[in-house]
Amino acid sequence: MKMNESCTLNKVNLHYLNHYSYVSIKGDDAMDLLDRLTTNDLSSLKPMEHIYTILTSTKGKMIDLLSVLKLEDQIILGCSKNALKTILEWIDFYTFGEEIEIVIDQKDYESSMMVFGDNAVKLFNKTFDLDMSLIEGKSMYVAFNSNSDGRSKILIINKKYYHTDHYEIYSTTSILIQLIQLFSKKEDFAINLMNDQEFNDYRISNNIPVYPSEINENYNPLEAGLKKYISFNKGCYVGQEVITRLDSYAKVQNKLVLIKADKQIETDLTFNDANIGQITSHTSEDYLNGVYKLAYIKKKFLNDNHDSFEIQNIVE
Amino acid sequence: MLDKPSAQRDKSGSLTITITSDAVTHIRQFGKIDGKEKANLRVGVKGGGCSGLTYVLELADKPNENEKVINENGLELYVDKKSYIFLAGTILEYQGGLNGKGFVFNNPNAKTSCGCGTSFSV
Repeated sequence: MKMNESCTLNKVNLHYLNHYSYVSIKGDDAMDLLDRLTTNDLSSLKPMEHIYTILTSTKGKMIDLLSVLKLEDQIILGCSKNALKTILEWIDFYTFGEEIEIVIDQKDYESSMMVFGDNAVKLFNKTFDLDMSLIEGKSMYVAFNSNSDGRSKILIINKKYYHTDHYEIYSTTSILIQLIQLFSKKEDFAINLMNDQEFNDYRISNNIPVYPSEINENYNPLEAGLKKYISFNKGCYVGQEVITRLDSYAKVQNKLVLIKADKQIETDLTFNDANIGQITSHTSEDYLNGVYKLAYIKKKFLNDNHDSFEIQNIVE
Repeated sequence: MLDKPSAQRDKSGSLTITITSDAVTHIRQFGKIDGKEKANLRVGVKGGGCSGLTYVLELADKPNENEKVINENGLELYVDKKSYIFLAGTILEYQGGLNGKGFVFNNPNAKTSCGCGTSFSV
């Protein structure tokens, strides 16, 4: 594995998504039901297109951020592994006679690997002998010769959640392992296989909320900086009235921010003895001594000068 | 202010769904517009709407398999079993006039409703 080599090499980051589950949803009413339950407009999604949408409670709080990929004959719904049971219960509760079938243990797209960085497309082109151009929200099938299964098919999706050039490959676990080996052998590329800790450091320092630390039922999507995954034109969905009112009347109470704190600070943030927010995640000691943290802070305290930390970015 | 109608029960004492005679009259009128001399009604619930559950109303000729049939004021009311859990005790009425809302579900199971009244939560 080539790690941190010369800058003449094309650096590409890989991260195997251990903490996500992918279920297949079939049936004529599947997309309509998901559209009625979540924040983004799924109604015009075409086959091979992907969109992020947020499952919210009736109070407009976040259950999870969902990844919805529409294929010809099914939807591949991606969600946090630990939220899957809740999400399935949620869908079941709101299903009344709709034609919908959920396959939890589908095998074709059981695993996903992120490929990101400015050279991700170059790596795909070199590995699969392509001239790939995949705009955000689009996906494509790619075939390659795998060691164990002969000619294998994988699915590449341009997602843009973690990085401008954020692609994910959906396939079986064994094929993804082979792909990591294949990518690592490519000359001219420095493949950085991120473990969970390195990826967590990366996503925190890039202001990216995840379940359950930032995406949970204590906060709404506007507080988490996920407004881009809300359609304000689609009509009703669960939690829509609350979210629209919060946005229209500027009633959002908290904002997710990236803070820098050089010394150890308490999880509960205070200002003049008043509670002003809470730290939700922090980078590891290995990454710049763990000084970067994500925190929800009450909006009215965002412009104050804080002794113990410095606000770097508001997550938008 | 009008009191919310109390939940209705059938002869066995079970909660049922009631339709006022005025609502039946209007359902019949809508049926005639649709070319149905004796239209019946399917009521139900589906997921969605601001508060989570949305009322469904449609004219129907006959019940689907596994639907409960309720006879009310000469009208047959068809409701699937899962929807019935959320609608038991409901009184369906019709509010006409300039300020009227049309068909209104007075549902004792609804804890909250959205602003437009088309969805509810339990």
